[in-house]
Amino acid sequence: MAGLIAPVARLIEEFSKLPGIGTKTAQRLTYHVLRASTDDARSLAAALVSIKEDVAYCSVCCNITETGVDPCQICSDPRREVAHICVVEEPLDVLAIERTGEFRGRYHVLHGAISPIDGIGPERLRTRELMARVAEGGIDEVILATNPNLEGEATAMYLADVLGSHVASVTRIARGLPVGGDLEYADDVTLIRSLQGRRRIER
Amino acid sequence: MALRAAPRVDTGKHLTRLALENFRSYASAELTPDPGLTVVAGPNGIGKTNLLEAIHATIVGRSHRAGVEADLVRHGTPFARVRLDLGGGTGAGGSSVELVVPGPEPMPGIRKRLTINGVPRRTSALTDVARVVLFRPEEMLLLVGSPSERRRFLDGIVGQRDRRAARDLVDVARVVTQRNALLRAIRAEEAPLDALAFWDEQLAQLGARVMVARLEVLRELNERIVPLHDAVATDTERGSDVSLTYLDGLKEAWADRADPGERMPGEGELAAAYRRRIADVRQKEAWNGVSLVGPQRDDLRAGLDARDVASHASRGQQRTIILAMKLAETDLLGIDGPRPVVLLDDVFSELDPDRAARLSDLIAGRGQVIVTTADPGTLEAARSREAAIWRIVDGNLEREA
Repeated sequence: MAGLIAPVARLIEEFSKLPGIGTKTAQRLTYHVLRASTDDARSLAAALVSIKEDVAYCSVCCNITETGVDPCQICSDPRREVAHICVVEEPLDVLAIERTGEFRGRYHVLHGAISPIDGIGPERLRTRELMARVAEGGIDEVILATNPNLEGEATAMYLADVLGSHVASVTRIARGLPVGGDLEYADDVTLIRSLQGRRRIER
Repeated sequence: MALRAAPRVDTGKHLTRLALENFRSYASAELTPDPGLTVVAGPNGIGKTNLLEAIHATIVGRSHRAGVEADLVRHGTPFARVRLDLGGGTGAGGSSVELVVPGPEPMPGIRKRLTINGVPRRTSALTDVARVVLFRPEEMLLLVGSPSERRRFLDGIVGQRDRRAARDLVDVARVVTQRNALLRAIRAEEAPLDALAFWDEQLAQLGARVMVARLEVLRELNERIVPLHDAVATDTERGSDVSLTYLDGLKEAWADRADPGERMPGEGELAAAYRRRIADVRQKEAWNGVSLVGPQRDDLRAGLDARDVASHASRGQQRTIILAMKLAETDLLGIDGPRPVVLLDDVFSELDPDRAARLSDLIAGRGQVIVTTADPGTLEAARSREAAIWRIVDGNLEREA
């Protein structure tokens, strides 16, 4: 970039690599850091380094955990049901399901979904670790909670295939109408899915 | 289970106002079209097509010519906004549709967004609010040009008539892209052949649904096209039999091949045929690293008295058929939803005076029409038809008194 001194140009370039940040936003962020105190800048830099150095992957569920805490908090919690595994795409999905308080088993984080365009096949996901957990035995149910889009479905189908013979029950989370929603406002595809996935009322 | 939203048919709401903000060449512009004929006149390159593009892109959800959506945004501005008022807009009991498209350097929080009466909706929700037919000069080559143009013609109708099919068209394109990437990986021996199973099944199911929707549209076009062809035709052309045929790539995998005019095949039948065909070309696909089956490879052929138009008909005969196809599209879109706004982008300059006059007569009876032209002759003809004439002056739209 012409007219910019090297350290400024470098930070702008680094910021623009982040998702959702264009050149202009990167420039704004850079000048913001430039004006901030040295302590603030050091603290930002330390936080950036720390996220790579102090975050590790749980050897059981592959979720992110603090360095030194392995297995992660959830996997080492004795109150959690060991026989149930909920498979999700990303660490954020674990948080989402944890918020519900409904699931008391343990997780498995794949870190992605099958997407040939992005060159991601099953071997690029944490599927081997999942197979190893299942092969050890003692797993009654694997819940496939990948996203309800094409890539998530492809991943779920692949996992259902390879897990089928090892686990008593492989289930897929339901798709359909949101709770408290109004039928009239549901989009057609959701409505079609919820009709396809309809259930007999238990009496 | 066949599930379709019950159409709420409302034919009375025409486009009452088009407002642009930072759209292509326009900083800010407003057009209040006539319920009948509106002509936008001016020299080439002044931004006439941009107006039609704004209307069309807002109604169908994507531009017919912008490679990247951000191209729609005026240079140096963060986003473009198009607002269409139908039947006077929300305030007057009509509807307002607003499309916002972010530019190459969007402000935080600005995303592509479509709202109908202020409520964010999917593009497919417009099926019941507004429809559009765009006739571009390039379509005069529709029958001899690439198959993708002909698929676009069919899918433009399919997508506006049926929300589920609109969604299927998007999904099937995505499945094909993913499947092609996987096939390339298989060719490079980076993925196993059996990784295709999921994508094969998706392609079979979605492919079958898209094909049924296209065949249905084609059948209805065929029901209308002969009288429309006669109406546009010259004396020597009149009385010919015109028919459109769907060319699928299913070959012998579709054993009970049906003529849609006699028996419409079901989704299950076609999905089964797709499964067989996919299995047949499995090896070839793996060698080529590309999907060789699916609706993305199908085509449409026009026949004139049982002869292939592309190789046998004259330029003039082809034009007559294309005009009849576009008129049939207009009629078809209007039968189960809002009557479409017809946009003619400099089309008359492509036609001889006789055909142009007959087309004007036929179009005039079909509701709201917006025409762009750089040709003084077309403009004079429009004046005699009491059209509302607009001109583009210094990037603004002005109505001619």
